[in-house]
Parts: sequence; structure tokens; C-alpha cells
Amino acid sequence: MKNNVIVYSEDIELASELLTPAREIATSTGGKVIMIVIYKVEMNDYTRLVGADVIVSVRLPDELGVPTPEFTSAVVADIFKSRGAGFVLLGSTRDGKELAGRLAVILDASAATDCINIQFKENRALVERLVYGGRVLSSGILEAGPFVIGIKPRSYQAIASGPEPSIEEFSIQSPVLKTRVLRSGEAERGSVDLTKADKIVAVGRGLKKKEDLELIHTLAEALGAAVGCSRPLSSDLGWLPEDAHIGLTGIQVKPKLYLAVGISGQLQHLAGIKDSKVIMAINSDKGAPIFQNCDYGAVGDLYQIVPELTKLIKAKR
Amino acid sequence: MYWSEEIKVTEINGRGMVFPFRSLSDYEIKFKPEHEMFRQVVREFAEKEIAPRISYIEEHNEVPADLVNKMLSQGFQGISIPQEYGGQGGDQVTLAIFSEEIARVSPAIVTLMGANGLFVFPLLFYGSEEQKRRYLPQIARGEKRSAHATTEAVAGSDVAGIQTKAEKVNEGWKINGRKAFISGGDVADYFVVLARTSPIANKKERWKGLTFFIVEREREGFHVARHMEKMGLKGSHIVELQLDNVIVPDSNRLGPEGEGFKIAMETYDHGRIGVAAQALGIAQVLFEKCLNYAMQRTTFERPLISHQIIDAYLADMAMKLVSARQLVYWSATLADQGREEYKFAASLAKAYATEAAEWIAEKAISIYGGAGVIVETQVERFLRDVEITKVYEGANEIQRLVIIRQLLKLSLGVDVMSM
Amino acid sequence: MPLDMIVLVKHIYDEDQLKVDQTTGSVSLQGVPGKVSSFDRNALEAALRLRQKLGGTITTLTVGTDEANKSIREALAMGADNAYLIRSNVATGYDARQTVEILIGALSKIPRWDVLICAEGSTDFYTSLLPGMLAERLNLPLLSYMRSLDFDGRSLRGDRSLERKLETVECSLPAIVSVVSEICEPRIPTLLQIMAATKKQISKIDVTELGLQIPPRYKLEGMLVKTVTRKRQIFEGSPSEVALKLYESLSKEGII
Repeated sequence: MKNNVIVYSEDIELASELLTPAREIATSTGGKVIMIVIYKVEMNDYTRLVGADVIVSVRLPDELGVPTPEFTSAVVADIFKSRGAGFVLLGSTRDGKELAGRLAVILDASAATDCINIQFKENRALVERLVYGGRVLSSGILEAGPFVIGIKPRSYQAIASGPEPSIEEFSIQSPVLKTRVLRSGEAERGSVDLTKADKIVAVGRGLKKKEDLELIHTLAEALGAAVGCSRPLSSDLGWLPEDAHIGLTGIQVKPKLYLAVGISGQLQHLAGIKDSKVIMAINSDKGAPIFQNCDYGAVGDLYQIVPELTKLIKAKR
Repeated sequence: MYWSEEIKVTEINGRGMVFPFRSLSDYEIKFKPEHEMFRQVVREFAEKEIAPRISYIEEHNEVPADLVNKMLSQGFQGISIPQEYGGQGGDQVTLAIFSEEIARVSPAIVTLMGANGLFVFPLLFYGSEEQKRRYLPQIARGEKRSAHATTEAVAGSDVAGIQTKAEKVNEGWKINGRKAFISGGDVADYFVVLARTSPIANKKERWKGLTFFIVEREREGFHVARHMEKMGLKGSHIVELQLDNVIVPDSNRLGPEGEGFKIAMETYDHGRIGVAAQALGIAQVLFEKCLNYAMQRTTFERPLISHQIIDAYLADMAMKLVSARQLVYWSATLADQGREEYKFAASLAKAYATEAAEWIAEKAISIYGGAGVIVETQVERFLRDVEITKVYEGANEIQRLVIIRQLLKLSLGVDVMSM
Repeated sequence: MPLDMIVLVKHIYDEDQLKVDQTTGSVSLQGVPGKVSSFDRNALEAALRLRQKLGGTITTLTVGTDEANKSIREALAMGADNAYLIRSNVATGYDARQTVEILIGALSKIPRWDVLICAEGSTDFYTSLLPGMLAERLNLPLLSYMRSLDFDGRSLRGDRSLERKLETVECSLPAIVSVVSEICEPRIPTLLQIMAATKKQISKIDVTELGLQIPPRYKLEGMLVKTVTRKRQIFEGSPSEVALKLYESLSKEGII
């Protein structure tokens, strides 16, 4: 079987995380780790990409503003076939999942997405992934290669140090694409990436008015925390941007502290916070599900507790 | 349901183990696939649209207009109006499901939407085709609201004792009087009003001489006189209506002159199951809340539910809840089968379910302890809401009379009133 | 410019009612009731709104056992014109690639269609592989993760929602579209629509009729409930009392 491992994600940080499991697989198959980087503006520094043996550097054709999964699938498939690869590790982002589906057909591969742990043994890939709303850990087997595996962000840590990869240029003809991107811009975003935040204060329907967010921001500042919310506040009310929405269909976070203020704790929200180290909650409803799923909880009026707590934290500093 | 004419009143023994019915299948409850689908859809609506607004409704005694409009758009006012008049064409089981599922979240909204049934039923059964077409489609579409005005300060259970009078005039009928405790009277466009059209001839025939009239709120001389603050059912309003020389044409008379009492009784028979289901919804939600609470709350270092007294309370709740459920849907099944016996069953259901719900509401407060009387916990409001269910739509005292009267009439052909 | 649309509807085991062995934490699907995958309702609603605007038809496709009829009826109640059940006996279902091949087999029996709309993923296994696989197998354009969708007579266009970006994308017909739940709130059917749905015919195609031989590529070995035991220390009292307790807990955990 072909033993080289291809690694790709449009998110370079995520791609460097993928190099860790890629390295493990390559070690057991005796193959090489080939990382594909598609760039619009030339990258000068590949030293961070520790773990790759080869970087195949692909310049995005001028007419394309972004590397769409359709375009990327052609690139990856081409390199896969010409380099004797047997594995493709992708970042399991939305683009990555579309790409995984495409490659599964193009390469006639066994595929799995959102994997949090993979092991390659005896020509089979054992994969673990969360299912049923993130509540259940499933283990499954991809019986035969080639393999296309999407890895969930932050499942692995990038390798700290190692030998530098060699760089190769790869050029591709401008393909005729069926889907055109007319515009690409930043989604409305808050200032902090919650998935990387150490401490998060999140607010939910218990907040009566948009103006009251002031209270929450003050507490967050005192704590040095980022601000997030449950779905109603971003999707329904628009009091906070979409990327502040924490939950099953929003962001999943893994902070040291997650403080839920006025959040009832519906399952969809809990799915986004269950990897938090410490969960703290403030809610006026003693029966709110959040109290079953937190480490520390305070029953009472957030409008009174939050200022008191803020005062105490500020006093210590 | 008649046994042979030879049977004397006292010879009931040995005539069938399922007296007052004849066979086990008379006790069947029948559901159709659309019933469960509808139940889930109402549940979803209640939890998504109504539940988040409860605090507001309780605090302001007002159901927000946008929520009312959503419900009208969903066809909730037209559930029991036949499709030929633009309604949803739901049967009694469907109406019971609707009442129960909404009551789980807001008993007041059940009354808000259901009170117009007391206008729709008399129209459906006694209205002329022209009258039905004049009023029902607009109600079904939610464009107009309606209410039923029989009760007066001096006459609740004693319908025959009403003082409102209607006299024949050139233009039709002139109505004078004052109605009280009229649900939805503040928002209704159309009313059915019961008035005395001929004087009482003798004590035994007090019930004769009453007639129903359809009165549109724009009629001169008709106005909403007084709003009354109530203990519960916040969001649903009751008012007094004043009729000063209100003139309506004879084409607004509903049903034959003098038949009003009969029409009123039939109307209440039809609405009874909905109230029973309203109480059932209250009982159901409280039982679930108590069960959840008892599992989560710890006292004396163990969960509440591990204490035997609490278990006993919960067990009694379950007995009453499930019994009420069987009675509600059984009587609805009989009604949908067009069987007269449904009146007997519906009275059983109404009396039982409302009293069971009250018992459960009181016990819920015991189980919750201090938290039970806190508004935010959302337990005490159900006790406040349930009280009126024992009283309106045929007070439970009257239900007990109806139970025995109907039982004897339907099973033995005996009229207990003539004894 | 009416659109003939196909919407994929999946009947899944209810994630709120899974059976868990208390000692081992292992999850069983035996006897677990089913429901429609929530995001499929958003996909169907998106189709319904397009039909409202442009005219056309909506046909739902479901691969499953007879149990799936429950979800299909819900789709009909929401307003789908036609529904197909591609009937199988396999209660545990198929993997993504098998499902795609079955769908393609069934699609060949459906006269004509312009757009196939599906959710970004099903709420049970959430592989999100179907859209990409379908696009490649059918050699059609794919607009994935759409939070808005419109058709101007020539192109299908809308906003594609990524983690940090929003792209405006377009393609011509026929096409595959996958939507995110933010695209629109699914409607709640009225009683009238529910009663009409119970009378509608669900067309059946048996999987065996398609004559496919596709071995599974992914085999599920086991499922465990992820357990994290939380301390559940709940404080009650005056605001200043509980605030102090929370503050002390933060200190204890070394967070401040």
C-alpha cells in the first residue's frame, strides 16, 4: 500500500496540528509527510511546519480569490496520485469537510471527519469521534485505504521542534470551476477567538436588555476573560456577533474557566462547553439544567450577583 | 344503552360488569396518527413561542399582541371549526390535546383561545347556514374574536335566573341587561348573549323562555363596562358587559325563540372536555416538575425523592394524573363517536381532572417547599390558575348532579328530576 | 422560474433518549424512538421559501426502514409535495458512501430536478460528507454551508458561512446545496396541514430494487457516553454571600 501521508488545511495553524498524527502514521508506514500549502501571497517562513518532510507549495491562480474545496480537491488529488500517498489528513473545518467528501469519491477512499483521535494499525485506521450532539464518543474502523481523515481542531498539539521540511513548487492549471466565489470577507467577529480563550464569561437569556451587556463586559474585564453567549443572544437577538455563539452549532470551547451567566444550560449549549476545566454558573432558576452540569453554581439574581463578584475580583487586584 | 323496559330502577346488579356501559369496548380510547403529530407540534409551539413569554404575561396580565397573532396564524382559534367554514376541522380529541399541551405552559392561553369555542358551538349546532357563513370563517382565520355571554352577577349556575331581557320591537329585538365574568369580552368582536324573551310561567318551567342572540360589539348601547382583576389565568381577561337598549335584527336570533336554555346546556356539554384537558395539562406539568425537582434537590444529605413521604405524594399525584388522563381522552373519544354518553363521561372528566389538578398543585408547593411560593419557580401560578377550573364551565357541584342525571337517563331511561 | 427541488430527510435515533448502561457507559440504540434530524427541517424550510417565491415542487428523499415514515409525514405536513422512502431492512443504517450510492440510484427514478438541498450534516453522526460526495459523484456544482439562498432565473446564489469568513457564492443549475440551521426557522405545521399529510401517499422504492453492491467503508465499533463529573456545589443566599462563595471558588481553583 502507498505509504505517504498528505496533510492539508486552509488554516495553517490547524495544518501544523495535523502534522503530529501525520508523523505518527508516516513513522509506522515508513512513508513521508507531504504538506500542501496553497497560498495567495508567497509564504516565506515554513519553519513552524515541523513534522513535514516536504512542503508542496501551490500558488493560487490569480482569478481565484480563495482556495475553494472544489479547486483544492483537484490539487490534493493530483499530488496524492503523483506522490504515491495512501492518506490524506485534513483539518475538519467546514471547507475541510466538503473537501473530505469530494476526495472520498475522487480517490475512492474511506473517509471520516471530526476525528479527535486516530490510530493506524494493521492497515486499518481506528478513529474516535463525537456523535449525538457531542454527548457520545464513538469508535470506528476504516477498513481499507486509501484514507481521507478530517481531524477536529485542537485535538492535537503541533510538534514543537524538528528538522525543517524541503520545499517544492507545484503549479496547477486554472481549472474550470463549477462554483464561483463572488466575494469573500470576514464574518462579523468579536475581538477574541473564543476557541483559544483561557477564560470565558458567557451570557444568555437571563439578560433582559442589550444595554445590560455592560455588566457582563465589566466582569469579563476584571477576570481577564473573553465574552461569549448562548444561541439566542447572537442568532435571534443579534446582541453579540455569531462567533460569540457557544454551543453545538456554534463554537466549542475548552477554557480553564467558563462562567455562564443567565444561561439555562440546554443540551445544545452544554455541548459547546463540556471540555471546560471549571464551569461556574449564575442563574435565578434553581431548577436550571446548568446547575447539574457545573462545578460551582450560584442561585440568584444576576443583576445583583455579577456586580458583587466584579467588586470582589477588582478588590483583589 | 337501554336495557329491557322491565328493569326497575333497583335491578342493576348482575346486568353486566361494565355498567353503566355494555361492553369493555365502550371504554376504548382511540387515537389517530394525526393526533400524535399535532400534539408534538403544539408542544413545540408552546415551548418555543409561549414559554419564554410567561414572566411577561404573568407580570403584565397581558398576552403580547405578536404572540396572539402567531397563534391566530397557526389556526389555533379555528381548531374545532369545520373545514367547510375555513376551520381546521379538528375533533374533540384534537381539541383536548391542544388544551392540554398549551395548559402545560399557559392555562390562561387555553382560555384565551378556547373561550371562543363557546360562541362557535352554539352557532354550529343551532345557527342557520347564513349565520354560520356570516361569522365562522372570519373567526377561523383569526380575523375576528368571539365570546359567550350568559353569566350574570345574580346568575351563574342558575342560568334560568338571568335578568337580561329581550323584547320584540319593529327592528328586531331590544336587549337590556348586564353580563358578568365574560372571558375574552374585552377583545371579542362577536358575542352570543342569552336573554329572557318570555316571562317565567311557573317555578317548574323556569328554564323556558330564554333566547340566544348574536350581538356584534359595534351595536349601539353595547359596551364593555368593567374589567375585573383575578387570582389567576393572567393574560385572559374577564369583563362585565352592559347592554342598554341594544337593538339586533331577528336574523341575529340564534336558534328558536325560547330554546336558549337547551342551547346553553349543550354548549357547556361541548366545552367541558376542553376544561378537563386544561386541568390535565396543569396536573401533567406539575407532576413532571415535582419529579425533576425531587431528583435534584437534596435534603438531609440525600435526594428529596429518597424520602418516603415525598414518594407517597408523588405516587398519589401519579394516580390522579393518569386517571384524569384516561377520563379526558375517553370522554373525547365518545364525543367523537357521536355517542350521547359522552356527556356523562365529560362530567366525570371535568369534575375529576380539575380537582385532581388542584390537589396536585397544592402538593407541588409542599414538595418545592419555600421555593414553591416564589413566583420565579413557576409553581404557584398553576395553583392560582387551577381554582377557576373547578368553578367555570359548569361548577363541579353541578357536574355531580349532571353525572347522576345523565347516568340514570342514559342507562335506565329514568329522569331523576321527576322523582 | 419555478424550481423542482429534492430535499434529503433523515430519520435518526433520538439523541435525548439514548439508552446508556450506567456501569459501563456504553450506549445502545435498541428500542430508542426515532425523530427527524433537526437540521433537515431547516433545509426543508429553505426549499419551502424558495417554492413560495418562485413556484415549483418539493420532493423529499429518505433512506431508512418503515420507522422513517414518521419523519416523512412531518416533512409532508410542513408542505412537501411528494415523498419517497427508499426502504431498507438495515436498522443501523448505512455509512456515508453507501447512502450516497443509494440516493443516486433513487434519483435516477425521479423525473427531473433542479436543486438538491440537504442539511450541513445529520444530528446523529454528523459526518457532513454527503454534500461533497454527491457533488463529485453527480459531477454537479455544490454550494455548501449556505445561510442564505436565492435563484434569479440563471444562477443559484447566496452566502456561504465559514468559521471566520462569509463568502458569496453562485453556480448554475442543476446543483447541490447544503444549508446551515441559521438559514431560516422551520415552520410549525397547522392541524389542517397535519391531517392532509396523513392522507398523502409516500412513494416506496426498495433498496434491493436498486441492485447495488456497495460494501461499507466505515464500521462502528462502539459508543460510550462521555462523562465528566462536575462538582455541583450550588450556593444560595444573599447576592453578596453567593458572590463571595463564587469568588472563593475561583481562588481555590487557581483561576484568580
